[in-house]
Amino acid sequence: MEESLKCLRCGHEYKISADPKRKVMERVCPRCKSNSVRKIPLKK
Amino acid sequence: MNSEELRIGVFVCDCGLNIAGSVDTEKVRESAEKLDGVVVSVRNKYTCADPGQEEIKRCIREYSLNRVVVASCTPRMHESTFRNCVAQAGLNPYLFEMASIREHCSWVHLHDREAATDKAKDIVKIAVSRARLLQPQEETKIPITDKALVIGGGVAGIQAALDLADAGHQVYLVEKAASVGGIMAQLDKTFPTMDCSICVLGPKMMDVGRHHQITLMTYSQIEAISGYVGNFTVRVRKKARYVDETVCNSCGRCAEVCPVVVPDEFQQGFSSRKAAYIPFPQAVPSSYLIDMEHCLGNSPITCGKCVDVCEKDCIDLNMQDELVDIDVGVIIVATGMDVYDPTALDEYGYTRFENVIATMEFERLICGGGPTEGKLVRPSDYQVPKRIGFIQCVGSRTEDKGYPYCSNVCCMNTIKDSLLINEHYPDTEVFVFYMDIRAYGKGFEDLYRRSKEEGVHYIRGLPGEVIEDPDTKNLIIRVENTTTCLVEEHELDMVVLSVGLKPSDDLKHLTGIINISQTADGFVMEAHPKLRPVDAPTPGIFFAGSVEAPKDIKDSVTQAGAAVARASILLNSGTVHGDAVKAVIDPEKCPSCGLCARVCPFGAIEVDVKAKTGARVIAAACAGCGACAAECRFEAITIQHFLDDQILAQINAALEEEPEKKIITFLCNWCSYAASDMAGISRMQYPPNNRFIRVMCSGRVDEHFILHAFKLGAPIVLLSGCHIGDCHYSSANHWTMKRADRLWNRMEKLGIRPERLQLEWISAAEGPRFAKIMHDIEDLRQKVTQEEIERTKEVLAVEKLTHLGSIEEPSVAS
Repeated sequence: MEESLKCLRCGHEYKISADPKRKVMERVCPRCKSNSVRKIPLKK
Repeated sequence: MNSEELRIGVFVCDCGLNIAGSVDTEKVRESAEKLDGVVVSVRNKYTCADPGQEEIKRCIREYSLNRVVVASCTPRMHESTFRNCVAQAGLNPYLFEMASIREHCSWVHLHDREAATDKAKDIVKIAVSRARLLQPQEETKIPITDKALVIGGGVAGIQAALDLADAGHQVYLVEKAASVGGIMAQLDKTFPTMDCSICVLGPKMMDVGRHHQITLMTYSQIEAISGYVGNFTVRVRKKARYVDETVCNSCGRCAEVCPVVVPDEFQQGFSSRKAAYIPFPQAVPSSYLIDMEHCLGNSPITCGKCVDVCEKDCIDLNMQDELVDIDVGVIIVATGMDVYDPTALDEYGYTRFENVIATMEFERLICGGGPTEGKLVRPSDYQVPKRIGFIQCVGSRTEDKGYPYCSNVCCMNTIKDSLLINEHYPDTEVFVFYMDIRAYGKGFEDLYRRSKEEGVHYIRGLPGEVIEDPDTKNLIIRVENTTTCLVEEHELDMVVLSVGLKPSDDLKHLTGIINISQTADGFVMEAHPKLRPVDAPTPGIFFAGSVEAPKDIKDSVTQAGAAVARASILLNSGTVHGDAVKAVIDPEKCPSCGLCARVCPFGAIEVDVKAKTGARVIAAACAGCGACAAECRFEAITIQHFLDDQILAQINAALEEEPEKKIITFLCNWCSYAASDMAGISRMQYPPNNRFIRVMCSGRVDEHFILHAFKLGAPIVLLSGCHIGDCHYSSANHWTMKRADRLWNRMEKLGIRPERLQLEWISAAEGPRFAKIMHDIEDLRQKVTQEEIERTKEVLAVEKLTHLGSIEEPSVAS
C-alpha cells in the first residue's frame, strides 16, 4: 500500500510505502527538507 | 477581573545596547503606556539588574500593580528571575508575563531600526493582551525521592556516584559494560602529571563497588524512564552474566578450561580472551562472566566445562536478563564519548598497514598491563620501532571524514605519549605531524615544552597519505612543513593516528527514552551553555563528563562535582515545586468519551467510559503539554496558565494592525522556541513579519487557534515543535501532526489553500534552520494575495471554528 504526500513548501509530490503498524515517523520533503508534508487523502 | 480593575506595569529594558542599539525603546515604552490596563510604563537600562528589579517592586507598591510585563530578553533566560522579583513584592508570580524583544527582535533585525521598533511594540502588545487574562496560580509541592541514578560508570559517573553517596544519598550506578572504569581504565598514563591511570582510577572503582549507599548495576542498560523531576521511574535491564557476581571469587578456573578463544576488546584485539572471562584484572565487580555470543555451552552436552570446574557453583548457563524498576529523584547522565574509528580514512592505511595503529591501541601497547607488558613493539615484526610518527586531528576538525570540532584531548595525549616513548626508549625518534598544538590547561604548556626539549620533532603539517614499503613494512609520509614551506619525506617504523572523540553511540538510545536533546555536534545540549552548563533542559536531569563535549579526566571529574552539587540542591530540598501548568476538566462539559485519556502521553487522565462519571486529571502526573485540551471536542479541558482565551487574545493583538503582513508562529517552549533564541543569540537576520506565540508544546495548539488567525486575516500560520521522537512530552507532538493533516483537509474543503498552514519540527540546536524557515515563510507570505485573505475571512465568518477532533490514533507517515 502506498501513501501520496505533497510538500506544501515546494510543491513536490511523492509516494511512500505505508505500513499502518509502523511507528509514527517525521515527514520530510526529500527535495526541500520541509516538514510541511501533507498526506493526500484517498479519493472516495 | 474586568479591565477597570487591571493595573498593569510594563518595564522596557534597553539591555545596554543589546536592545536599544536596534530598537527605539522609548517609543516602545510610549506605545505600551497607551495599551488598555497599563498604568505605568518604565524604561530601564538593565531590568534584570538590582536597580531594575527594585524599580519593579517599587512600582508594584506605588501603583498597586496586579500584572507585570517585562519586555527584555527571552523568558528562558530571566522568567524565573522576574517571577521571584514580583513574588517578593507580594504579587503572584503567575501574574507576570515576558516579552522577548531581544532574541526575537533587536538581535535578529539589527539593520532595520524602524521595523524592529514596530515589531517590538507588537511583541509588547501581545504580552500585555495575555497579561490581562492571567490568573494567579499555585504551584504544587511534590515530595522528592531521595535517590539518584547515575548512568555511565566512567570516571565522571564514578565520581558523581561517590560524591552523591558520600553526601548521604542512595545512588544507583548503571553501567552498560561488565565493569566500571570506562575509557580511563584503558589508558596507560594521564597528562599532565604522567601518573598511572588505573592506579588513580582503581581505588575509586573499588569504592563504588563497596559503598553502602551505592547500588552498582553493571552489564545493565536503561530500558525506559518515566515521571518527572523528583519522581522518575527507571526500568533497567540487567543483562545475564551467566555468573553470579555476588558469589564468584575470580579464581579463573572457568577461563582456564574454556575452549573458546576470541580477541580481547580491552587489549584492542592485540591479545585474546576466553568466552568465560573477566574484562580486565582490576574490573569491578571482580567477577567473571560468560560471553554467550561465543560460548558453546548453551547445551552442556556441547561444552559446559566451566560449570564443571566452578567450585563456587556460581555459573548458570540458563540465567535470564532481569528487568528492575527503580525510583529516583534525579538523574545524572555520564555516558561519556566514543573514540573515532579511523577506518574511513583510507589514505592513512589504518586497515591496510599493520604498523598504522590508533591512539587506544598505542595506549595498550605502552601499558605495563597491556598485551606486551609495556614493551612497545610494532605489530608487523614485534621489533621496537626506532622512528614513530603521530598524525594529529584524525577525525577531528574536518568536515569530510570525521567531525568538525576539536576533540580537546588529543594534542596533550600525544605529548604525553611522546614523553613516555622517550622515557622507555630514548633511542626512538618521535615525530608529531599537526595543524595546531592546543595546550591550554594547567601544566599543559610545561609538558609541551618538555617534550620539545627532549627532542620530539613537531612538524606543522598533516600528511595527505601514508604509503607502506612492502619489503620493510616501514611507512613513508610525505608532508608539507608549513613552517619551512618545504615538502619533507619521513620513513617511519610505526604511525599512530591520534584519533578524535565522538558522541557516544549509546546517546541515540538514551535520547529516545529520556528528554534530552543533542546539539549539532551530537553531544548533549545544556539548559544554558554558560549559566547552567551541567543541567539538562528537563528539570532533574544533569550531565557529567564527556557526554556534554570531549573532556579530559580533570574536567570530567570537575563537572561530575558540579552535577552532584546541582542534583543535591534538589535532593536536599525534599520537595520540588510542581509547575502550575496543568489540565483541568470541567465535569459539566465532559461526556466521558475517553479521547483525552488516550491522547495523554503520561496516563494522567482517568475516565470510566461506561460509567460516564467524567474524566479526572491526576495532577501529579500531568505534565501540562495541553494535547488533551486541543483534542477535546467538547471544550471541556482548560490548561492553567495557557488558557484558550489567553492564546486567542495574543492572536488578536498580533493581527490588530496590518494582519496581511503578519505571520503567526506557534513555538513550543522546549525546542522551536529555544531554536528561535539560538537564532537570536547568533544574530541570524530574518524578516520582521513573524509574531511568535509561545506554548509549552505544539500539541497544545488547537485547530481553532489557527482558524481564528486566518479569520482575522493572517496570510500564513506556522506551527512548530520538537522533532518527532524528541518531544518533551513524549508523543504529544504526534497529535500535532495529526491535527495538521486534519486542518489541511478542512482548509481544502473550505477553499483555503493548505499551503497557508506550515508545519516545522525544529530542535533547540537548529538556530540556522529556524532563520532559514523564517525567510522561506516570508516568501510564502508574499504570495498570498489580499483577495485570497478576504475570501478566507468571508468563509470563516460563517464557519464554526471549533475543531473536528478525532478518535483515531496519530497517523503513520514518513
